[in-house]
Amino acid sequence: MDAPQIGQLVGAALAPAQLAVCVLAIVRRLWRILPYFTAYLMLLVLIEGARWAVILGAGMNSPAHMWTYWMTQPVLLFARGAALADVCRAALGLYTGVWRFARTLLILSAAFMVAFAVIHMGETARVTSYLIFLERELEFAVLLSLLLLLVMSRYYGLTLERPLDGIALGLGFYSSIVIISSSILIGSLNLRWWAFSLARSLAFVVTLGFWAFSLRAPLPERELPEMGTVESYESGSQAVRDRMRELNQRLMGLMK
Amino acid sequence: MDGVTLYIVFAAVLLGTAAALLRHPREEKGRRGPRSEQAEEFFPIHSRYFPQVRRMLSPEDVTYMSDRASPALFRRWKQSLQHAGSLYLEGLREDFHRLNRLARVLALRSPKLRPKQELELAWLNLRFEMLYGIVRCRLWLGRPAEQYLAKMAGLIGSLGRQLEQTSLGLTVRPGALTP
Repeated sequence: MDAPQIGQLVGAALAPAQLAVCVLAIVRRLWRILPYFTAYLMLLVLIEGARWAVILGAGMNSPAHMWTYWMTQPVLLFARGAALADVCRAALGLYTGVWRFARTLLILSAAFMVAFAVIHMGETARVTSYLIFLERELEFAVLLSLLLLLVMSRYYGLTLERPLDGIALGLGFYSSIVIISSSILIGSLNLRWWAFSLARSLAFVVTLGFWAFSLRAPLPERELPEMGTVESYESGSQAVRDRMRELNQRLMGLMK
Repeated sequence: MDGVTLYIVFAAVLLGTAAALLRHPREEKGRRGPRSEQAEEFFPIHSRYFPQVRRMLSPEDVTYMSDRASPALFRRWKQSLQHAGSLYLEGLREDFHRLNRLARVLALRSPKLRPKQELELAWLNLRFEMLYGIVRCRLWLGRPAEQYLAKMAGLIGSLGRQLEQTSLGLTVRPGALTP
């Protein structure tokens, strides 16, 4: 069996694996905490099914399959963006103040990356490389947003619990593999198409593994945090800020 | 480094950082949700012992020891003092972190945040860490530090008092934060 055939075999294994993870998510009632992510899993199954229908009808290397693949890929990418937004909301949404602040930062960072992609789109000539370029930039936005979420969670002393941790890791892992493989394909390193497809398929199998592992047991019940008042935050953080500033000034005095 | 390599390296670094951030801190393994806020967690401990440290670092002791002790013994004594001063500075930093964490808990539990205020707190925290490093270097070089340590201890104490008055009822008992 040669390498392209292995690639096709891994690709064929994706559909049942996606279906299995989707069923697992439904069994675990994942939609209660991650409705968009659950919808993304269902969309994956539907689109993968449609792609295989085209492959069986017209062939793997047919223009019909290429067209179907590249036309459905942006739909999946935006669905993945929505799934990540869902993870962010599930991670921080219970803390309304922090969530509003984080949401603004996440939107700004994602908007910056999308704007960057749009500005640099003219640098590519062919339609395929244009789509790959756009996909890479949007995956970068996903990865950066994920990192921002994790930094903010850590800053405020929160940890992503199961299943959010595994789902976030899966999303980040797949995005980074897409960025790396697309960069090699766009660049001058001359990556073959089958190797590009194989890398992505394997990465997605690993990603499905992360998701399945995070859904291995019934989901833990989430406890609602005890919230304070705006007034106590205002006065408390004002005190901290003033004292920090004063302390820094005194420390600066030591430098003189 | 060309654009392709830069993208690859950047993606790998971002993924590595994300994986590291997803790892639960050792003391938090097995704990669900945010850390529980125990009052003791925010207590400034080290700044309470400043009177003892002040006596240890007083200039009179230096004069006394320089007059009576042999040069070798005096040098060793000075080194010990420097070491103790550094340890105390480390303790003050720990106190600062505890109170800083209280500020974050206040933010976490607030229904509304001021983004500008949060960014300023993060920036001040960063500045404190940088300045602390420089002060530590000065201590290590043997510069007098008693009065500065006193200022830092006093500052942390008053920060504790203010936060105590405005705390969210996090079961912090009166007098717990004040050294």
